[in-house]
Amino acid sequence: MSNAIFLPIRKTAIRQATELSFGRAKIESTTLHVMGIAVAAISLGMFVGALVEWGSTNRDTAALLISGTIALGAGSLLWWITVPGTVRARDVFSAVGWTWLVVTLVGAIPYLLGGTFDVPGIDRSGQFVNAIFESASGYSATGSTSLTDFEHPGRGMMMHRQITQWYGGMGMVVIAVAVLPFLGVGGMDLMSAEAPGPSGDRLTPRVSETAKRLWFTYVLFTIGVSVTLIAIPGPSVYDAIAHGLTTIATGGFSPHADSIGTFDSGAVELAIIVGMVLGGTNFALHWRAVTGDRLAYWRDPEFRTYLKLLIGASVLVIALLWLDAGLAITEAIRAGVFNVVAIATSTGYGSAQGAGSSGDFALWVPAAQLVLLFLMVVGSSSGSTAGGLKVMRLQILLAHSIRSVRRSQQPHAVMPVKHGTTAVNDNIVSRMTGFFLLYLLLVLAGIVVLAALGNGFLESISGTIGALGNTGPALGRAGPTANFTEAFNEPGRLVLSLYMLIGRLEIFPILLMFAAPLRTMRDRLS
Amino acid sequence: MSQREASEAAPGFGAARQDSYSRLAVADGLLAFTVIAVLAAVAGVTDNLGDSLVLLAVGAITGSIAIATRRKFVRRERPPTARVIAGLASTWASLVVTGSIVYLASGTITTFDEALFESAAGFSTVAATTVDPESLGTSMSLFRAGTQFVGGLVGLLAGVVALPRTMKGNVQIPKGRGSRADRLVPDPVIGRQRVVRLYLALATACGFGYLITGLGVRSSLIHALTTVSTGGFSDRADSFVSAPGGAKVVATVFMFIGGMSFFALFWLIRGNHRRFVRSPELRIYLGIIGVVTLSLLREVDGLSVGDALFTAASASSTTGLAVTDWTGFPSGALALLLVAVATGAMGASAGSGLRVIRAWLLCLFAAREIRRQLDPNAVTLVRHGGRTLGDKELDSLTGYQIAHFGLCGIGAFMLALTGDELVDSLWTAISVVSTFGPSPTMGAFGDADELGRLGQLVMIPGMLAGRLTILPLLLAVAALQQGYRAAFLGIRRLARPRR
Repeated sequence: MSNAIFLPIRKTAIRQATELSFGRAKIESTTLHVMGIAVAAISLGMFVGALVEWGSTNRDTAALLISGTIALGAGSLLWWITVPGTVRARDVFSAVGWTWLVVTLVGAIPYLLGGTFDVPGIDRSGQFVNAIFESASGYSATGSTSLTDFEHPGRGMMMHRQITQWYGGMGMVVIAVAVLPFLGVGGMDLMSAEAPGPSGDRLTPRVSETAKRLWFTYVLFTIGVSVTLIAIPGPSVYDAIAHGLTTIATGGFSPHADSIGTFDSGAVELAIIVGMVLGGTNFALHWRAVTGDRLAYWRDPEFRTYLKLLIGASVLVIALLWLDAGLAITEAIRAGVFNVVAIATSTGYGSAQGAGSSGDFALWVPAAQLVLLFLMVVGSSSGSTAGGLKVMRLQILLAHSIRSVRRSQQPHAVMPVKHGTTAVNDNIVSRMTGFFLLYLLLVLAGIVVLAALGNGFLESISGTIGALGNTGPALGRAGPTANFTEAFNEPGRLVLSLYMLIGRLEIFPILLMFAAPLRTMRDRLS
Repeated sequence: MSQREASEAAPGFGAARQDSYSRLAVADGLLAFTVIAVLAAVAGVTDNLGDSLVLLAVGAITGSIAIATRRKFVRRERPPTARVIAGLASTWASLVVTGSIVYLASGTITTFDEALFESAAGFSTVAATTVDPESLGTSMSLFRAGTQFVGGLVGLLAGVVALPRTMKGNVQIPKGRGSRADRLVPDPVIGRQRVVRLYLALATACGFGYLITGLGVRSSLIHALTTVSTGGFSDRADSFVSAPGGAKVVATVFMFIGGMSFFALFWLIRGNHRRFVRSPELRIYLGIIGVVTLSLLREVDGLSVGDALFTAASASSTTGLAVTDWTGFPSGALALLLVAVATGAMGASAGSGLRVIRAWLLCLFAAREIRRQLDPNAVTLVRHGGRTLGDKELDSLTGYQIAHFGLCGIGAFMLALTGDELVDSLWTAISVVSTFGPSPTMGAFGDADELGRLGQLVMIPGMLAGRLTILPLLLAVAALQQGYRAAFLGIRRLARPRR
């Protein structure tokens, strides 16, 4: 890829202060600079994977080491030869969109070098597509997998896979912002463009400090979940760390084919449920709670609705499983609560012990599946690691819809849309509506494209919604006990990979990542 | 002297006439019902005397009620939106109940819920049925088709005359411009007359078309009533599968016309060809039908161009007539058909669904959001047909449509509760709310028995929302909410008496 793509590169704005020691000027490009830091940062996950691999199965050590070296080298080089430039709206989308795309491609290298998908029945193009899919699913914290044989990759490779989701949960750009104190206001824009949901909470006046605090909270909660899992009988230390990494990230990857169902333990499921709920909560609230404001959760109208949604959906699903599907009440409660939380928080863990067991929601009654599909669309809180439309948007859209009806009764009344007790600006309501419509259009387009590519209708609907909401497992042949290699063809998996990134970055960065380069090229041509 | 003063002073029962928009709307509906019941009875008197007598008896009662109501009440010149909506909903409900009485009294259907569904499907122009159409006599077949004809007319009058006058920000209706002669609705009376004449003329032309192409007198009449109204009922169990080729062409043309905006048709008739051809909504409507046709030809092996066009026109106009069992099509074709059904016909047409213009405006709204992201401080407008849409118009449009999507979701959930598969539930809910009818559950020929009794009942509110916009349902929910709040406050006051 030529430098022309990663713009704005302002050759006229060369600054003396940014010259390299050997006399050549640095390139002014926020996109390349942020990308360099992000690519270098993910190499750490590959080295950790290599270390685990070396100490255990020792099959993919070389692949992980080489990949890590490539990522570190390329990332460092990009970081070294560039300096951050101006951060206009279009530069923000370019920086975030291209960073995530390149990180996804670099993240696929270990799978390709290690032959993770080199199993009978998958040709070279299939291996390439699967590597991209797995990497996209990892960094977008989605949790869909194209792995057909979970015993084939080494433990280190699987740990690398888990770490990709941990990175994706909080976001690579947040790392970049944390180490780029001079980005200023643009840094907040970068973080907002990557952060899930409409919340733009600033925990401190300094953006880099906010990013650091978010990462601190994230690390703290990850350690908390891992330690809890270690303390519970069942999971090994490796399993505890592996699942700790993907629980707070609301990712959903597991080193086991049966996911959480492998442990068949109510205590493990309970710990994971708590972890998923925490992952699906606004991290700004966590920070406030950690720093002493214990009532921060209860004062937040979004959090209250989020909890009500989880409880209401759980009760409904339990009732459907118990009364309609005929499951025993204890089984219905266990399977219902776990899967509702896993789907609503867009984690996507499975609690099924093989196909056909009570946790296999692909075989649940259709009404319960529809509840899950609705939760896939809604997702969790804004400012969390989860995907979907977000509860706050749903609240505001509902209020907007109700206001429209009331206006038909009282056309001259002044009726603000309220979120909790706060009146929401009409401009924000309009923006949220626009976002919702774009989301809907993307869902429709995804369903039509996937179905036209020859994939099943149910798989196309649930796969699109699941990918855009970063949930992971879908319905039909793409259920929690299945894999996406069997459910979708190769072009379909590529479409889903793109949708995962679109969903993770909340649509705009991926749609607008070409805007900055195109506009600069147009300016130059004119 | 104003119209209101004149009518209030008119000799009635010795007292001034009361104001009631709803009752007069119901009376108008019952009058239309009387006409179709009497005509159907007369047409089938030699075929099945019993059915004809039932129709005449019910027609006589409804006619009497309608005339008495018209003598007693007067219409205010510009009633508020909520009252107009309530009037339309009352009209629809009274028609549905009266229709179901006909089915029950004639013995065509023996249970009230099935009769209610059949009647609701008729007056909502949904092509889903609980009866075997080939077992019906002439009078009952004609009455059944007539219910769709009246349903289409009610929808048209609501969308073209009643709602645009009262609802500010009703962006889906193109505003009339130019002289009175060039405007379809210069005032409500002329608007009603023009719409009814145009509707009748189209149905007559369609009937002649069918007759010429060899469909037979009875079948031509029935299909003429259900094609222009975008209803989709047929007197054959296999709809148009075994119909002559020429009749299929006629059906395709008139389904397409039925889904066209009456404003656009009026421009065409008045010779304003330039405006007709330049209508962006018409172009999009044509584009959708073209894309669906080409996709069907690509996806489905052995499908002829005519059949593909027929299926696309049927889906886009939300008619529901079928020329092939499309439920067995590949998933790509089914997905496109579902999008076409959900999008529906043009605004101010006899068809239903989201409506092309609304779907287009929602797309423009979404595109504005993308532009806003790039230039957050720029003034970004949504323009359509040379007009900039105001924030209030866009607000009302998006607010109602969010509720529309929600309704489809709730409908699908209710169907899923009855045991319908997930995809089938979604398909059926969208299809019914769009007043299309057939779905993978009911088959291409709309066999509603497949829904089950509970499924049929839960779909009736969806039909109302599809035919008369979602507003009546939303207003009912709002009223319930207000009632609930008032009750809650009352209880609280009782629990905490003042000192």
